[in-house]
Order: sequence, then C-alpha cells, then structure tokens
Amino acid sequence: MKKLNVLSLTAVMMLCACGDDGKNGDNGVDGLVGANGSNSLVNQTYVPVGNENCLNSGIQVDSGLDSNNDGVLSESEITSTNYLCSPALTTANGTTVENTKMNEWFVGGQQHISQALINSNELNDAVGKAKNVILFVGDGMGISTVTAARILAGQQQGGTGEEYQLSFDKFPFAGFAKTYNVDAQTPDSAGTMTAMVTGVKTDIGVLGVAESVSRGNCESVAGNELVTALELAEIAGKSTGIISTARITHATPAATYAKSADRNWEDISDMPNTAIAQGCEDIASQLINFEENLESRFAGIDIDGIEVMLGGGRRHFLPKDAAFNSIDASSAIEGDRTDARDLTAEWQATYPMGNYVVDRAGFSALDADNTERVLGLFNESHMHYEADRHNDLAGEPSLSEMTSKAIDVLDNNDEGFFLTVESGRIDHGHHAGSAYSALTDTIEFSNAIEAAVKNTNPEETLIIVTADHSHVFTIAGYPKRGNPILGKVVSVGETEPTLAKDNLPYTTLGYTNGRGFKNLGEETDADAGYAHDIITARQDLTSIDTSSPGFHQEALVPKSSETHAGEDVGVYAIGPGSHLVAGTNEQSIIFHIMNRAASLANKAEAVLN
Amino acid sequence: MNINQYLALLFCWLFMLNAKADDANSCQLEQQHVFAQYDINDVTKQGNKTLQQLNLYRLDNQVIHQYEHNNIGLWWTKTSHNRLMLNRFFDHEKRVIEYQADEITGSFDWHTKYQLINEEFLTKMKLVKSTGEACNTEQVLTYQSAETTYQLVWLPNLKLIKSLKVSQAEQIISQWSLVKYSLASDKAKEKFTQLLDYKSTDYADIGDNENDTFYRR
Ligand SMILES: [Zn+2]
Repeated sequence: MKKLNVLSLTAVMMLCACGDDGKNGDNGVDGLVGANGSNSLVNQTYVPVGNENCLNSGIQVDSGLDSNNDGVLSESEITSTNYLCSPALTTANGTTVENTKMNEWFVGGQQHISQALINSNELNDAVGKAKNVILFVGDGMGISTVTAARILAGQQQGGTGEEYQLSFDKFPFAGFAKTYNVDAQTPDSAGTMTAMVTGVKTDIGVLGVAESVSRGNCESVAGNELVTALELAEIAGKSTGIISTARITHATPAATYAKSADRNWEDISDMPNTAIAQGCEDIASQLINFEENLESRFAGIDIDGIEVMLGGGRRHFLPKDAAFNSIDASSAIEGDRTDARDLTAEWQATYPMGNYVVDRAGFSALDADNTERVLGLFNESHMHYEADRHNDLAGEPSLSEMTSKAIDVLDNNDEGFFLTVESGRIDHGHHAGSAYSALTDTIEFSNAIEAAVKNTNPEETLIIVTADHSHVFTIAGYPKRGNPILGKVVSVGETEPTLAKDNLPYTTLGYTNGRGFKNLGEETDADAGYAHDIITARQDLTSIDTSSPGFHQEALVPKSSETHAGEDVGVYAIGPGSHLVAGTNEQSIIFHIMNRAASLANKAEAVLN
Repeated sequence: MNINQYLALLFCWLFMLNAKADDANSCQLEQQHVFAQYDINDVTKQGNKTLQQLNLYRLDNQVIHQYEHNNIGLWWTKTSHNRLMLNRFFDHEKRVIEYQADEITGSFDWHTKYQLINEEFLTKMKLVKSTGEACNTEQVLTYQSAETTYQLVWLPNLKLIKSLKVSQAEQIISQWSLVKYSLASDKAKEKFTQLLDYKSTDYADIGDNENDTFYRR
C-alpha cells in the first residue's frame, strides 16, 4: 500500500515537471513607499514555448526596488525573477492525466523505476562478496540474436513475442562491451574470451597470451602467458568448471585454461612440427595437465585441478586408432592424436575418483553430491545443435542439464566456485546461415541461465551473461507486431506478405553474407547446408515455409561461411558486484568485475604468500 | 542306384555347392577392397556429348567417388551405427572437410555410394539372363519405366556395374562402362591411408578460420 502511494506521487511529480502549478500568476502589488523613497516594482513578461524555464510558455516575473525612482524596473534594479509556467498538456484536464497514468506501459515503467531504486538501494558493493561466479558466454550472440530469440521464445509460448523476456533480460544491470581484438576490428572467440577471463585484450586467434605473441609461432608464447579468472579461482581454493556445447578444446572454453599461439592446436596432429619441437603443448593435453602446469608456474601452490569439464571434442583426447573408438564414434577412426596418448585414460589415472562419461545415461547416473569431479566428452566433435540433439546416437545432455549438474557438483566446496558456460553453437548456426538453429540454441542458453539462477544463492553468486562477438544477422523490414519472427514480412494492417521492389516476399531475418538460401524442410542440423551450393540470388519464397527448421535465410554477399560482425554486444549481470556492469566498455573489464566481486586475485595472492 | 551310390552322389553334390559358396565368399571379401574405373558418356538434352571418368574406391565401410583429374573427391564412411559420414577432400591442398556422421541421414543410401546403384532399384529390375559362376557371375537386367529404359550388366558377387545403358525414345542418354577394376586392391588402401594424413576441418569450423586462405573463397 505504501509503495503504491509513493508511486502515484512520483507519477504526478513527473507529469508536472514543467510548472509548480497551473494557475496564472497574480498581478503584482503596488510598491509601498519606503524609507528612502524607492518603490518596489514588479514586471511581468510573457515567455514563448521553448523557453528554458518554461518549456510550455508562461510568465516571467521580475521584481526589485526602483532605486533611481524613474518608475521603470530596469535590468540592474531586478533582484528576483520567478516564472509562472503554463501547464503541460497532460495536466490540462483530469481525464488525460488518468489516461496516461492508467496506461499499462506507463504503469510498467513506474514499477520498473521503483524496482530499480530498490535494486540500487540494496546494492552490495563489498569486495569479495561473491563466493561464486558464473560467466555465461553465448558465442556469437549479438544484440539482434537476443532480440530475435526473445521474440521466438515468446511466440513459442503463444504470445506475440516482442514483450517476452529471456531469463537474462530480467537481470537488473546491463551494459555494452566493445569486442574488437587488438589487431582486428571484427574479432574471434579466442581473442575475445581471453580478454574476458584475463582482463587483457589480445590478438585474434590466440589463447591466454598477450598481444606480443605472433599467431602460430610457438616460441613467441613464452613470457606472454596471462593468468585467467579460472586459474585465480583454482589457486584461491575454489572449485572450477568449464562447460561448452562446442568441443571443450574450442576457443571459448580453451581461453580459460590454455596458453596457445593458435586456437587450432586442439591436439598434437593439428600442430606444425616446429611448434612440437619447440615444446608447445596442444590444447587437449593442456586441459588434462592443467593442475600440473599451473603448479609449475606458481611455485609452492597445491591446487586440486578443474572439477567439471563438460562438452564435445573426444577426437582430440584419443589416439588415431579405431581400437579407441567410443560407443557413438562417427568417423571410422574417432581419435586424431598422432602421439598414441589416450588423454581420457591419463585423466582417470591422475584422478581415480573422477568420473569420465560419454553419453547422457552416464551423465544422468552421476550423483552430484558425491561426485568429486567429472570429465564429460559427449561427442567426437561439437555437441549437437539443441534442435538436432534428438539425433545423437548415445544421447547428449542439454546445456541446462549440464549447467545444473555442474553447479550441484561445484557447490560441494564451501570456498565457492568459478564456472564458465558457453553456448558454442549459436555461432555455428549463424555461420551456417540458419537463424532457426542459432535462435533455438539461444533459447536453450537462456534456459541454462535460468537454471543457474534457480540453483544458486543470489546474495553470494555473481552471474554475468554476455557474448564474445556478434554476427551479420539482421531483423529487417516493417513486420507487424506479433508477426512470426522466422516468417516473411507482413506489414502493419496486412495479412499477406509485403512485396519488395522485385515483387517477391522477403523474410524478416537475414544475413549480410554467407551461403544464403536453402530450403531443407525438416532438417534440424544446420550444417547440412554446407553440402548445398551457395545461393545469394533473390528467391521466390511465396510457397516456402521459412519457419521450418531447415530453412536458411537469404544472404547478400556469397561466402563459404557467414561471418562475425563487429558491433558491441550486451553484458547482463545479477548478484554481488553486478552494478559495475554499466555503460559502454572494453570487453576486458568483465574480468575486473568478476575479480573484484569475488576477490579472486587477492585470495590467490594470500595463498601464494 | 543303391543307397551308397546315392549317398556318395549327394555328398558330392553338397561338396560342390559348398565349394561354389566358398568361391563366392572369397570374392565377397575381395570386393570390399576395390578400385574400379568407369567411363561415363552422357548426352544432354541439347544433344551435347560428355565423357567423364569416375574412380570408385572401396575399403570395407568406406567409399570414395572421384572424377579423374578432379582435385575434389567425396569420401563416405558408413559407421558402426549404420549412419553415413561425408568428407570432401582436396588433393592439391591435402585438406579434408568433414561432417558429423548423423548429419546427412536424410539422404542416406549407402548402396548408391558403395555400388553406384540403388539396391531397391536392382530388386525391381527384371533378370534377363545369368552367365558365369561365383565371382564371374554376370547378370543382364532390364527395367522399363514410362519414358526410360535401363539395361544393366551386373556383377552380383563383386557388387559392381559392368555396364549400364539408359535410353529415352530409343536415344541413349547415358552409358556407363567398367574400364578396369582390381579386387583386394592396394591402390584403394593407399588412397584411404593418404587421406588420413590430410589436414581435416569440420564444416562448422570454416567460419572461425578467417586466417586460412583455403576457406576465403
Ligand atoms: Zn564463429
């Protein structure tokens, strides 16, 4: 009740911001005869619309003593100026005011403001207040992707869509990140994720090393290694976890644990002989040897290694020998490693209490409370697109399932945890030119974030959601409210698709470049499009269902694969320290926000000394 | 004929049957490692004639189709779960681009890759005559649809087309002929071994390899 009163008062105050009341000013009173014989004079002047003191016009009232007794209040005699402003139109009569005040957008806006005030009053700015930190990265999830996914999610639930909120749309704080790499206007995941987890921007294509590195040159790594938030958390005694729907050795997850002059050095067979000879270690091997490697970098520390690693990419952990194939191997020889090492066996030997799982059944069977650590490699390469997950042979867990289980394992540690969750295939859906795949993966990403919010204590958990970069993906034309986001543009007031200058209908969603139009019907694997020719000429979509899973949007510039884009991405945050996510900033500040909120460097420092 | 003679004959006959089966079995195995070359003469609707040479390589559950003198080849693998994986390889660049296996289930037809002809279509064709034995068995098969006539000489135990003639309105529009083939072929083994050394990339990763000139096209 009290809150409502405050609300209505604020509403009135806002509406009347231009004038203190709505009445005309009173006439000035004649001046009294003073001791020195000077009269007090008052001048009234009309001020037109647009005056800085009275936006809606009004009366300027100047007053002062007629010192020279000439009967005129001259400029130098004015001692006080007041304004009687005309009322704003909205306050002209009661009905108009009510119409505005009762309008649902207006009410919603007021409610938002009062919630924002509560949020800022309840700000927790204490350094180190965040026991847990979760960094969610939607790979390639630019602003247009968030908007379109939100509309699709809302429409899937029967709404018009635009008004719907994804889980992280509800977060109290947000800002923008400038994504460029030190040497690239439009970035890639390696350079951007390195910036987010180390606080240092670097070159495109390199992992965990500063910009002085030369891409592909092993020798240039030495001396340029950066320390990541995951490593600090590990030294500080927290539990740590990495999840990705891409290969766990792919750029985004790898930036948290590997130092590599090239993101493609996922296993030893991907490396040039010179790099091997110079002693550089492939990314999969760096993951398995993480504990040993970090301990050798910081003398005297004794860490316990990464507790949760879930994703795809088995091929980089197994020898190139069919005898090592897993139950759902897709290639004749699943493993790629040419050094005969079976890293999954090495990991199990190092961590006898660890669980190695390769399918959904093994994953579901894990009892999180009694699981010390888990390595889950669910696919030979990337895990499936969410829309295509039902096609996996042995079965894969969803991103939300992996996130929930990871938190349940990680929160067994009283010191808290640091977890990174990547939705890696939003990026791949876009590269393939399939909005359907990119958006359905974004919706599952939103579900995973929701699961994290539900499974953690908001008073001690900082959750940051962002993207590493955007894609050349657009929401175009003037479709009417509620028009199916995957459909053709139907203008406001119309029921049939609007035609372009070439007399053909067009979709709302489209790409500036890429492989262009494909009509693959019910195909849920976006990558099936790569087997078809690149088509960038305009198509007649009249009888095509553009909302089917297998439809790939038209593109303008033909490319073997659609590309990243260079504009800013959103950063969304909740929990202790989340208010520091504000404004437009370099992407690297994400590290600094997490570091301050959880006091990662200080706690690690305390252990080291 | 007394009972002993009868039994001896029966035994003999059974033995012969068995020997034939063994013979067929041996080429059943040998046909799994095959190199075969075809001349394909096509006639377009405009009457233009084209000649192409197609190389077929088979190694157990893997097949390659590559046109002679073409840098690009298609490499199919049938996985243990009866799914099909497609790779494209580029000989000049020594590169392979690969799919995940389950990603082409929609167009799954292993026989079309393995023996260049659909198994269902084969069973619909009419057997005109059969000559030879075991590995040398040759079948002449025909099929007539409303507009098109197919005449096939099929080597059933080698699972190879010997020749195929496709005609419409008494005009040959396509003619395939087996130029040469080798069973238990080292050439096939070499080809597949060579591909294992090519640098391979997922289709999905092409977009993230902006620095690789191979993908810029
Ligand atoms: Zn990408």
